[in-house]
Amino acid sequence: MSQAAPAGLRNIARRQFLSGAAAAMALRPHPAKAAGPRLVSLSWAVSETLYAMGVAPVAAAETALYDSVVRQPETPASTVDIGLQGAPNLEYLAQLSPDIVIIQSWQDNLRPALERCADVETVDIYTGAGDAFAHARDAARKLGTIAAMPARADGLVLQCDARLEMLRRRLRPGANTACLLVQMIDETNLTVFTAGSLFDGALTRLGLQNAWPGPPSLLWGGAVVGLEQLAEHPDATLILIDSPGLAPDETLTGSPLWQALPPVRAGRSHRLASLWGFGGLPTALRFAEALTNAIA
Amino acid sequence: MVVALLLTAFNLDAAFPGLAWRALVRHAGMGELPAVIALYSALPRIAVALLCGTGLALSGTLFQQILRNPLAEPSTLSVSSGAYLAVVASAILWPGLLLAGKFAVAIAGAGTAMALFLAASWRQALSPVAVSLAGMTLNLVFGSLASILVTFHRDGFVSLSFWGSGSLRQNDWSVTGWLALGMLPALLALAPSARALTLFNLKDEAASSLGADIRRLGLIGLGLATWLAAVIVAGIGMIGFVGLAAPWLARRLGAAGLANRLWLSALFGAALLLLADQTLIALGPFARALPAGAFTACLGAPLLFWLLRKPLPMAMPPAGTPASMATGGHRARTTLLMIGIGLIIALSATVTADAGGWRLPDMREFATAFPWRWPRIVGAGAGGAALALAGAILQRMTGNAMASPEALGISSGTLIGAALALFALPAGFAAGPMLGGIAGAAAAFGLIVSIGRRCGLSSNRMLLVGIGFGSILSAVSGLLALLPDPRLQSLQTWMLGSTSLVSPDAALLTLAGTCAGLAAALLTARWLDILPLGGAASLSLGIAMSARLCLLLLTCALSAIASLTIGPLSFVGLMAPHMARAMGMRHARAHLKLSALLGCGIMILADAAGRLLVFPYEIPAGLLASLAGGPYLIWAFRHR
Repeated sequence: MSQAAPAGLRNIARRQFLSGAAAAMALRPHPAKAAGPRLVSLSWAVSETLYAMGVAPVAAAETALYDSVVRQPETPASTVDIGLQGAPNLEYLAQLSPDIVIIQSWQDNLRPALERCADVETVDIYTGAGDAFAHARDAARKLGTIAAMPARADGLVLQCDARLEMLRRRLRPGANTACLLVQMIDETNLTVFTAGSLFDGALTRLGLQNAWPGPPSLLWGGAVVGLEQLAEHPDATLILIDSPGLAPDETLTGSPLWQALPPVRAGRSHRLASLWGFGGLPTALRFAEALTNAIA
Repeated sequence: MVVALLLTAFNLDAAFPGLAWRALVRHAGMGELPAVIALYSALPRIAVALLCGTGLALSGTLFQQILRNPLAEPSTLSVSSGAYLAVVASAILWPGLLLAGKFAVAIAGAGTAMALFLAASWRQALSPVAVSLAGMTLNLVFGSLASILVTFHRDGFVSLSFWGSGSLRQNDWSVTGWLALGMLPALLALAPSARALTLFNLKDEAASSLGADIRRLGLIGLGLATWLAAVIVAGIGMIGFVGLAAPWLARRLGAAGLANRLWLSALFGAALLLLADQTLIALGPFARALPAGAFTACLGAPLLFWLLRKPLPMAMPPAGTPASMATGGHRARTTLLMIGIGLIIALSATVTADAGGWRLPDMREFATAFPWRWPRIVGAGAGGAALALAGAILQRMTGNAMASPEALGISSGTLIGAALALFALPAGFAAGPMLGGIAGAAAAFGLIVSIGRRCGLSSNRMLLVGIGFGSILSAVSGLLALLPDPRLQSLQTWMLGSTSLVSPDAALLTLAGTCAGLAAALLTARWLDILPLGGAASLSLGIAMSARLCLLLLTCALSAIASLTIGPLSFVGLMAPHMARAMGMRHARAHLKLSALLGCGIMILADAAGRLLVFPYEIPAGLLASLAGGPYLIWAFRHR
């Protein structure tokens, strides 16, 4: 018992050191872009992966909102805003004369129009089926090939794998914990991240389980639920991820129903700072860091 | 009511077997989970359903009594959409807004909507058709504004479109409390005024002779109904159908006297909403994720069509044909207009935006942009012209200057068909949506004809079919939005009337269709000159039902062509023919030509503005046109 306090302190010191090191690794600036193809990214998950590899596309969709919702890695200064992810400005795109435009499969309706001015590459992360984390990993490698920088993509993937392994080892004592991952839609409705979501993939790789058994009903691996449905899983650890774009709201966590949930009463509930659940490999790693810091 | 209560009891029993209901509060206080869920989730949800159902039914009954219109209810009168727009805007501007602030904002929004609505339809003596059309117009304007806000503030994940769609889920009693608190003043004020409001059973003149200040009384009643509707939007969002169905059921059961009808419809309203919500709960997890509001909207449209079978109680005042208008000089005006449209096209084809502002491009830039620019200009122009032609034919046929393909529901029918084809057919089948759109337009057409056979194809009542189709469309798209399907992207593009993805082929196809339509319309010009004279005159002149059918078919084809390019929302089909008439085009040929020109010009202008205003982002042309069209129409309603 007498060793508990120093161990706890050591733990905190180590935690700080680790998260600092992680931040240093993830954000280490790559040398400015070498001569590669001129790329345009029409979705945030692709943008974020490219930025993390140190690749600056000539243009990306909704950069201002990206910088306030996804936040990091930041949009490079040389990358211009090309309009909405679902409706980019095609004329402007043509003026930029890109070599390759990168879309995700949910943007396939744009393909015929885009093919009129550049090669179009589809990257699949969210297909409504399979393991989004594995897809995000494959997507990073594919993006490396597209950007003609496979070594950087390999570096990102390996770094991500190594980091996850470190986090998993840190969690070892609490392994086999089943987590409920929820995000607020409004005061009473929640998204729960199911199998097929990016966060579910990261969770599994940390050696944890997803406590939610149901299938996804949303493209990114989620379902809309209410608090009363969360009560069906009393042994889970409850993780509330703040919603990007929504102010943190105490109406939900202050409600008697939330307070009565067994995980909350048992002190097994944690709150993570805002994360965008529709992202790529860098978001998955950020989630894993935040989750490990919260529950380890 | 009994069914609703039985289902509720069944659901409660299934969810909480063996719960000690009598000692619920004590058990919940001790922290027993089933008791807490029952007390803070299941019971408030029932209370909210009962309160909202009651409020919507009372609001609907009041509107129907004062406006003497069986189709009036908060959602057809644009009161709900006004409140919704206000709440959406405030959620974006002040993200931390609390429940009390939300109620205040919703009431302000609903009040503004009601004032605009009254301003638009006052001159028409608040007749049923005028009221419904003004409501539809404002609904579209508020809806477009809300879509613009949601489109540009969508964070890609937490869906603003889910919020406010009428989910009755609760975590505590706070919303229940606010609803009860908000509804209470209205109910207290209603109790003493219900007797006075029975005066609206009489004709205006008769009531005035009784010495009642009937207009002031009417305003008080409308204010109460608006207040109730706003409180409900702030509490849980948009819920359709209940305000329409409950008063209807009360009437069908022969409730005599306003007071009885208020009681009975309140009872029915509470029961209906409870039944709808508990049905979703009973259907299992997927249905449980659906908001009750989306579900009731699906139920509402069939009832609306059913109500349209019967004659409306009050005739439309004869549609005005401005008699003082000059008949000559249209050649000069047409020429002027053509020059104007040529200028618009020239500017629209050249002016380019970049980070620094608007400017004329150099040759190289122009050459790069042109392959993208011309299809959207041609598509927008041809689509606008097609809708305007369809509108002109309808306005001439029905003798109603407020008729339009949007009001007939053909545009919405096209989109419903295209959306269903998109989901039902295999993914690679590119022509699917186009064929589905045509099928949808044909289905809408079939329904219009079957309603028209009962009341005459030119009856004003047919114009209200579009309101029903509009609510089906919004329900279908609302439900599809909850599916994990990427094809929703293309559906959204259509719905908003975006022209940026129009391919060269599609543009040329739209142009060809519109030209064929114009030729066909000019061939029928003789019929159109005679039809507005009225049934007897045209019959004696030998214009049979088949001629009307031909015209209606032409209208459907034109609307289907246009809706797939510029979306179901734009007011061009209503606005352009109206403007053409106001410019003095009385003869059918001139009216048709000028309408087509105006429609073409308006849409090209909307397309250019949408492209230039918020560069590099684009506002869909259809959305922008409906936004600009709304104020024009409200002005037109007032000055008819």
